[in-house]
Amino acid sequence: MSKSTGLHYVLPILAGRLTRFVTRLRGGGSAMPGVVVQKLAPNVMRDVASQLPYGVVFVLGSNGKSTTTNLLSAIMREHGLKVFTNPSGANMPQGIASAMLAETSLTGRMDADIAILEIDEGYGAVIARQLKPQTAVILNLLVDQIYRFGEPDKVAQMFRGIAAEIGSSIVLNRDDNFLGTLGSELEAEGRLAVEYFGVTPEVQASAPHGQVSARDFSGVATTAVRHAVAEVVHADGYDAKIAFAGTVHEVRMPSRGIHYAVDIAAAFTLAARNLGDRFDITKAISAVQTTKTVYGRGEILQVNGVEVEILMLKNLASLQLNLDYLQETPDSVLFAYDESSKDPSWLYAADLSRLDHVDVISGPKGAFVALRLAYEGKDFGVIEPDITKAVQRMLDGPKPKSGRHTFFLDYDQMMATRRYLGYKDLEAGAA
Amino acid sequence: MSIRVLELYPGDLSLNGDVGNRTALVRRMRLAGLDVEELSYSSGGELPESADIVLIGTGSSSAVRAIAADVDRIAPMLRAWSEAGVVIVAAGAGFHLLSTSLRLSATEVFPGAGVFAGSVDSSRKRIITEAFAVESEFGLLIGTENHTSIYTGRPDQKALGRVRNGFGNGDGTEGARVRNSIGTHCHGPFLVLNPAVADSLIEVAAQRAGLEYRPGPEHADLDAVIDLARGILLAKVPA
Repeated sequence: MSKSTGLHYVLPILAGRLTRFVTRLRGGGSAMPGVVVQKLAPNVMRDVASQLPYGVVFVLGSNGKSTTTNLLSAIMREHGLKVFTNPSGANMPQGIASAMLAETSLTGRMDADIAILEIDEGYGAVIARQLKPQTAVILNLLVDQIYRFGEPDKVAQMFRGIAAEIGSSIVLNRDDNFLGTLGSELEAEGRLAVEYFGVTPEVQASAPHGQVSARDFSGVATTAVRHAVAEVVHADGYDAKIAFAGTVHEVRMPSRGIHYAVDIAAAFTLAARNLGDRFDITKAISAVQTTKTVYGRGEILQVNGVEVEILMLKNLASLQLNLDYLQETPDSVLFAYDESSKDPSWLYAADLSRLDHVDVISGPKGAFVALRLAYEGKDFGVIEPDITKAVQRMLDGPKPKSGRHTFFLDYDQMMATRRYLGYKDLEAGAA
Repeated sequence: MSIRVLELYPGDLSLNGDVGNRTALVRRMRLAGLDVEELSYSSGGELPESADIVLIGTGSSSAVRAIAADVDRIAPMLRAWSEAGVVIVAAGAGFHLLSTSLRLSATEVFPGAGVFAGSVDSSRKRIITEAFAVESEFGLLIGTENHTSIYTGRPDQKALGRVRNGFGNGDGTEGARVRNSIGTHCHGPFLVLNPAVADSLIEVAAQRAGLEYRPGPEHADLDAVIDLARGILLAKVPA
């Protein structure tokens, strides 16, 4: 492909920049600039991506995309690479185009060595055809967004379609039901180098609900015991031990749980794959340990001398794993459920035994959470649909003995809560 | 004397929090002071000799393929129970597996257990209705539907109700009802949001077991919260 990008992109990129400027003045709309550029110059993204010396990496999976993208970016930076990445959650075509546009010069060049992008599974194949990623990691296939996808098997199909667009290698969760099957298929096909990360059977068995991965009924048993490049041999609270190249390394994690440890193992495996001999596990561990959590994913905010921990609850797996790795029964709990979470059925599959009560329920669909707790016979204080009022109510209440409020928040409530508590970095971020 | 609630294939048919149907029934019965015994059945296992309430839930087409042969194996017992008046609540794929035949694709047709007299074509395009509403003898039922099927009941097969908002069986009716067995596309789960159905079924099951079911003030408290949740979906039903 010609590297003589250049003048013919000046106008489209200017138009996109202008749109970006205008939409930001109006406060939001980060996908719009991407729409404009894509319309004016459909190949601009492909050409920009093709110049990156370490290419494009896709981070895929039902849960953990933002966290893993963040970890992987930190690891690559620690190794001296300039990393371009999309802001958490901006993982659909226009959001990615907008994010890339913000970092692209008028002549269609990006000052980066590698692009590490979290990608929505529904759009993955389309985005892959445009950006031609060489490598990808798939973290898990969970029961997620049934309202959007119908059944997990559909998502497995999507991952197959995305894998077909990847250039050279793919890194998979060895212990995920569907991804194990996908790995067997890709190995048989022989086009891609396939590598795995995983957890030991002991770690898997010690997790109260495992990794909550969706069941694959296809009947293809993955009996082969596969090698995992990075394997979690211990995960307890913030402490993990990960085996890599014959040595077990201790890692103090930014957040808790087997799911976090698995994301780290995924990042190690992919970084080692991409950097080859340049990969240094000591640098990778140091990067992980000094990384801040992605906002809202086990993030702890300081508010007037009290801690507020934000845990996301986008689906059964995220709620269950976050519950399973609570350090103690939380004494001050806010739980919010969003309008965009269409079907609350999954709440009934959750094991809520780690909660003994909820203080305030919020969000437009908070009543579904209240009902779930009512069937469990658990007290839920009040329902305050307005999230900022609900947050204020928590802060006005008695100071928790533990010194910490625990907020289980859906995506929109998480954003609103951070904003309300004065964490405005999202608005000022790279979007 | 206790009421035996039997959940069929809970590990296979549980795509939409289907355990919630058991949760709803068991909670209401225990609040009324009834003894409840919770049982489950999985492929290759042995059915208990008797059950008062049988539940079977929603699942993916791959799950249906995995258990269809086993459903066929236990079909005579399920039919006998239904004919004897045992309460059966079948949702989504569970409803389809208890019909007379189930088509998954152009080339795949599975025999159903024959509890409900109707055939299912589950190879259609996906239908998703967030606020699925059905007029029925139990009042207005509300929940969510998410399936790829058309159910064609035999003319003498009574439906659960008429669709007010959504797709249901595909012909304006929704679900099926025979003696004390109910089949539906409604989840959310179904009984969690529709206490009138839950109470009616418990009453039948209790009566058959020689017990009395009398909801009390704690049921009223629970129902007040149910109304809040129902209200969210009812507000989305076009007038």
